[in-house]
Amino acid sequence: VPYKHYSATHVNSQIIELETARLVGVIHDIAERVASQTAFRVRTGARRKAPVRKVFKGGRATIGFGRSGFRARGLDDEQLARNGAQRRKYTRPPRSASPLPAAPGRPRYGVVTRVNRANSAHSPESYLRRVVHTGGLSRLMDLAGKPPPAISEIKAALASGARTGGAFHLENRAAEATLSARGRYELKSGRAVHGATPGSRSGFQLGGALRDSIDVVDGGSTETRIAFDVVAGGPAAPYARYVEFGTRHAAAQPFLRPALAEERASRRLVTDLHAELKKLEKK
Amino acid sequence: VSITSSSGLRQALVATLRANVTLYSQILGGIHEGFAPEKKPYPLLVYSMVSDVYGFTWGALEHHALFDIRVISRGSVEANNLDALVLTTLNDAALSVTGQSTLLCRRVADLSDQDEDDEGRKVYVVGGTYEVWTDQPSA
Repeated sequence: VPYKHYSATHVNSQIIELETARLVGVIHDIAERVASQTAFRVRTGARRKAPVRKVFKGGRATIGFGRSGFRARGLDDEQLARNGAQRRKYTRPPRSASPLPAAPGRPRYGVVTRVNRANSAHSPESYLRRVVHTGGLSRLMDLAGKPPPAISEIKAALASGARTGGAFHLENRAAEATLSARGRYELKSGRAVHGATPGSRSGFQLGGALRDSIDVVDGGSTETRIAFDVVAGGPAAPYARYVEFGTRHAAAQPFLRPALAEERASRRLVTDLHAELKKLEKK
Repeated sequence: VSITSSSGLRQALVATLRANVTLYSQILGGIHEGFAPEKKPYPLLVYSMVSDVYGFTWGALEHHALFDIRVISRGSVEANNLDALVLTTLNDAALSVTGQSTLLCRRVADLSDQDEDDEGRKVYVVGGTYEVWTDQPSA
């Protein structure tokens, strides 16, 4: 555009607008970075506070199969038959009828998890997920590194008679001696085995589903608002809200809000933001 | 600096709730910390401390505490009415905490849920989160 078409005032105002926009952009980036750091600190605090099932004698909380040299592996049919007695010992007996009809080739147990008032309200989909997560050994083992199966996949697997009464053990069998009775049950039944999510550092994990479900997600940031949410729960730990807020029968064990309160009290968001703006001022 | 714990805060909260005769007479199941025993009649009130962060400013100690206070009832209307009474009683109340003065007592969030009791009947859980700040002056 020929310069002569613009007055000096016009050009100056355009420069000011550009500079202001650039400055706003820089400040926005700083605020976003500081806010995300704050959110991750809250996540860390919440993970530290989240109750974790104790599966080891002496208080160690969880075991990562992919870490510390521990590996989980499934048992084949022969091993399952050989270990049948042991497996029955650790598998919770069915307490009521399975919502799935009996059929030839249907697994003998493992499909029937405890169906009581606490979980009778679950949808068929969540029930099926539970089936897979509680005993769907072959399916579960196939899930390493893959996203959770679709409901249709689970239904297809069940319909095709896929084995669901499973058992896990640690590759390092000596380490099993350090498990508590509860931990042995959780391991053999596969009830508290979770993980194998895309991008996770470890394979399967015993215990700590709630803790590992805590994460930071975008809270609907816009040009004028920066928001991050620290969330817990999801398919792996749908009971998160009952832990945070309690129920009629169980006292709350809050972990999200105390972490947030501590972060607020530390005022690190303010000090970090102040420090970053000071740096910008020096530039 | 001698430090007072949050136990005084909890006592003051319960004392304030009990002081409201209208509210207390209607809570047949009583006031409980954490959760209520199975056989308690409805409606009942359950409170629990979410967090209590200590802050030290110029030798003074501040407690920044969060409490969940919930009314559990078989009737939705009853639960909401009692919750409104709790709100009236506690919001901006001057809690009488031993060794501390109340700076703030305010409801900061609502809580609402439904649950099932031992008899398989639906119960309504209505309440709120209260933020309480107290100050313990330096000696």
